[in-house]
Amino acid sequence: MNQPSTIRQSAPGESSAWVLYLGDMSVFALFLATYSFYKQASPDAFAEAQSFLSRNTGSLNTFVLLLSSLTMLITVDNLKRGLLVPARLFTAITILFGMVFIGIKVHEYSLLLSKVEEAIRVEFFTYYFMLTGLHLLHILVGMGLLISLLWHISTRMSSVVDMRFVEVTACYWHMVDLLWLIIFPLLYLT
Amino acid sequence: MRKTTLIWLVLIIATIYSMKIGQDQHALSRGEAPWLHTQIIAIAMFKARMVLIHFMGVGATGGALRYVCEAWVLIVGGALIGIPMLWPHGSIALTH
Repeated sequence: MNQPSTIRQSAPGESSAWVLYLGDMSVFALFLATYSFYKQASPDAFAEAQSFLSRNTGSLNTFVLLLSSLTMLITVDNLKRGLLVPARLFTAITILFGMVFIGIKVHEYSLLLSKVEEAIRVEFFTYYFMLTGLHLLHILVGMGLLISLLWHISTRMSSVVDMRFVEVTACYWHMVDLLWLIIFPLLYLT
Repeated sequence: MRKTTLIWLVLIIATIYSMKIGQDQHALSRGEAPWLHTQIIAIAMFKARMVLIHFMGVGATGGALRYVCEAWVLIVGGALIGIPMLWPHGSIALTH
């Protein structure tokens, strides 16, 4: 989705999809603001619980999602130029990065639950599991869209590809990346 | 694609910088680093705006969508930076 030199009149993908993106982003924003507020009420308890999180794991997941955003951009660029073979390859790589993110997150959850007794009852971890779990759910939806996209472009023998579906999928995946770019520093770094 | 790749590199560099300043765990955990918190959240919102404008294609659209997205970034960033300033550590007493 390179920025063209001309202004386009419509939203990328479907206008109705943007209602979903912005609604979703606003729900996350409310959760993040609520977390910030309650953190101010119990700063020491939150800081102690935060120390159980692995910054390296969170950072690794950030780079994985940023890489997946790049491969998604390359996919869209190839599809715009009618290059189906590299588009298929980069869609598959994006799916692979999504799987890596899920694998790292599941590993992190299992480590946390084994390290912290009754982690689920600690207030910080309630927010942590809610925010990251909801985000993980979005990753799974994004993976579903990406697999549909791969199937869509794999069954096209010519370069006739529904670009609206491509843009809806790409924007959704970038939105998932965007949300993580805010969740990660808020939960792991501050 | 070249411009997009450059923007992606800026995102990577901004992430590394955030991680570096976020490593001052001692100051952060005691809540004695509001400036570091502000910097980290400001960088996160800058990155979110870059993704919206350049990756999601909002920058190429004129009108309402761009304004809504810019407003979202400003409001969310303002809230996440403003909440610790309005309610400093320990100023809220909640009963559970």
